[in-house]
Amino acid sequence: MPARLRLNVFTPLPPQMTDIGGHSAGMLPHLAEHADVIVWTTQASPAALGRATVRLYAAADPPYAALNAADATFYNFGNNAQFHRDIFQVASQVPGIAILHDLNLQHFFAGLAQSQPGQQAYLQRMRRYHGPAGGAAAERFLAGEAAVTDLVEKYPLSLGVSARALAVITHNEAGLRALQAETRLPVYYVPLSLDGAGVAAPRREPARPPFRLIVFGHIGSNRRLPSVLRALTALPTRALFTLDVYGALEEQADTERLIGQLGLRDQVVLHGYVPAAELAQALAGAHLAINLRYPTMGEASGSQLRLWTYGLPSLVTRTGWYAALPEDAVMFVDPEDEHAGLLRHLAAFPDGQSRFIAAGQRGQRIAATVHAPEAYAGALLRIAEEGAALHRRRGAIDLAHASAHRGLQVAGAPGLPGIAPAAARAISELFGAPLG
Amino acid sequence: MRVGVATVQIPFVRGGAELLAENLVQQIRLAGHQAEIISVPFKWYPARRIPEHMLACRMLDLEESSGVPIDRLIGLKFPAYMIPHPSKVLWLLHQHRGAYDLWDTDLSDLRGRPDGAHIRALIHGADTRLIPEARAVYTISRNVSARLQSFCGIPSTPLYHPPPDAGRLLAVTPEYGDFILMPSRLNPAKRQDLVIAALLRTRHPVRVVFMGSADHPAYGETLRAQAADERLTGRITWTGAVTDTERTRLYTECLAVVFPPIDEDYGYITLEAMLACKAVITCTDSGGPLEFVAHGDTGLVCPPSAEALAAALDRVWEDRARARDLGQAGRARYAQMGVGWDAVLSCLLA
Repeated sequence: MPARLRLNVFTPLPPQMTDIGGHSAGMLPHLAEHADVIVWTTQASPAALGRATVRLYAAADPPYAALNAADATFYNFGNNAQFHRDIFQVASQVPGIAILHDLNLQHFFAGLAQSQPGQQAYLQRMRRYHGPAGGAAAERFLAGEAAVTDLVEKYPLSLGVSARALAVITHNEAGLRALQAETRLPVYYVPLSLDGAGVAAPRREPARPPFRLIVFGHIGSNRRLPSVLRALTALPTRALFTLDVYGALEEQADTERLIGQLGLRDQVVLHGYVPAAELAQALAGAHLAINLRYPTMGEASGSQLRLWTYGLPSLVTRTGWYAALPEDAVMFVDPEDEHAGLLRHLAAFPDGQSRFIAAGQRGQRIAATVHAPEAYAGALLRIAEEGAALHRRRGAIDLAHASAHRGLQVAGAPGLPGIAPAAARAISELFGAPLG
Repeated sequence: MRVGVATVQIPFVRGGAELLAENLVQQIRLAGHQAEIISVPFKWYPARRIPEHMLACRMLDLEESSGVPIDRLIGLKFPAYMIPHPSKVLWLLHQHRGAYDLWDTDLSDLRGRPDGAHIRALIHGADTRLIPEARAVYTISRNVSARLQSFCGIPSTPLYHPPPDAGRLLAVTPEYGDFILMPSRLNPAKRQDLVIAALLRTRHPVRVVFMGSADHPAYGETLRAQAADERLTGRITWTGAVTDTERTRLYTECLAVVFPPIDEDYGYITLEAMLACKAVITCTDSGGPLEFVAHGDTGLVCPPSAEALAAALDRVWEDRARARDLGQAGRARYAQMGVGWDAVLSCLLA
């Protein structure tokens, strides 16, 4: 292993509108302080990344020799097929370390299934990872008889991107155990990072009305905006609050109609996607963030880290990654008691601001330490340093599969147990990686 | 003693490695032992086949045959040297070079493959783990030993052995004809293309006879296309595969031998040329030949460029007396080195 590692990183980058890009842009300059980093992209005008080198590639013809010159390759995966399709194409061929920004990748693979060859691959993948039931569900989906939302919980395809992976990284500590139960690949938990440098976090003190609530990000149905609007309507002190919504809405027209029906036009403003500086100003000026997710895709929330960097108190759903957050750093809303929970917190805010502010400050400290980009970069370096062992482990797994396949051809299922121990012993001798 | 010589065979490809294994077995038998080549077929592509072949070798049981122990296993080539045996000695011809010294070159079979780095890591790991299993590790040259030390940190001892035709070549009365011989399989690593490029730049109408068949027919065609230049008309001869008699005749009659491979492990050709009293023209990056050729003493060593090689060919062509002197010094040098099978067998069978 050379003194200074050479690393490939595949990731979306700003200005693409994705939290993963933001995370990478904040972290990669730190990684490049300690390693020679090449960031591979198919984007036309990606952001600059400090000492990291940004290089273009063609997904249909990856530069294998250049990629093979690195000591390790990291692939970032999220649920948006548009941002991660090209990355997946390379990761399916060049073994590397898969970083799962979402534990549930059903949306991603369903997105890939829009094309005809993608449909066949989707069907095979659902069968491989979720058995006959998964295959049947895929057939229903492809026939237009089921929506992707019907499949999400039961068929997450979490390891669908790991067919050639050397290891898997999750940002979700609970997800770590679930993944470890499903794969023989090494699985690492690394807390998601966000670069808080340059954030002008205000000194927070109890404020006077109006209390500015904020929701931001890509607002899909799991962000629970209608629930928030209904809770705000039902709140006796609703006149004390305003709500600013930043980011693209999946259901813009429906949301606008609901705001009108609930009589919230004077209090709720849908800003849409705004420049970063404007959003930063809004976060600094807000008093309470509402950052609900239900259902969750298992992702660590870049949005939550962003809220914390501003010291902003926040309401989150007690589910997935959020459920493991410290009780004193966020205010929880139970998904089965969402309306009452929202009402309770909003009702408590005017006279209980100190408690909310303390939670925001605690979150701010967590963001600056546990989720610091330096810490994340350090974790990637430590994993990359294990490269040789990761290769041996993957090699052992692949040989075990090949041996089992050939063994079945030679001896059939009844004879396989007679062959398997010798193969397992030989594989262990070759790679020093016991097939536990 | 019953001795197994473990090697691999790429079906339908025959070269120095096969000759070495056959000669080793012959010499062991002459020394009064039983010996047998145990050859495993090898296919290195797609790259995922390589670990499967490693595993296949690892699962072989050669401790005994037909109820009688095999007393010694001599491992020669990757991955056959991974076959387990309690009394195994390695005499490495080379490791899987595409994962080592050729990795950074276009000659690597792995570097440009999607899983090339992965397979390379597996080969490195298994070599580092399993080569030291042997009770002793020898190699065929200092060059191979240096690579093993450099890439895997494993010490080894080089053992030089005579080429297969040593006796026949030693008996010839050299003539110094009007051609320079390049005896090699047609293969990119042997760099016939560099010799053709050099011929296009010589001042004299130097003639070269390429002796050997192509590992892959397409490469043979590529070379012939490169040579289809009117400036080379009548200056290049392709013999293809030749008989032993024809081979000896060509060594006997050539003016000198040109042998400019990329980092050759050992290279019988150098020793054969020296035995036949012929100067050897080689390159500074040719590996094995450099262990034997002293520039200006037993041959010429030049940088691996067409211009430099052309100048070396011209020097030999225009000064035939000098070519003869270099060749005769080569024969004398060979005699001084004491290259022979006795020393090899005493180590491998100890």
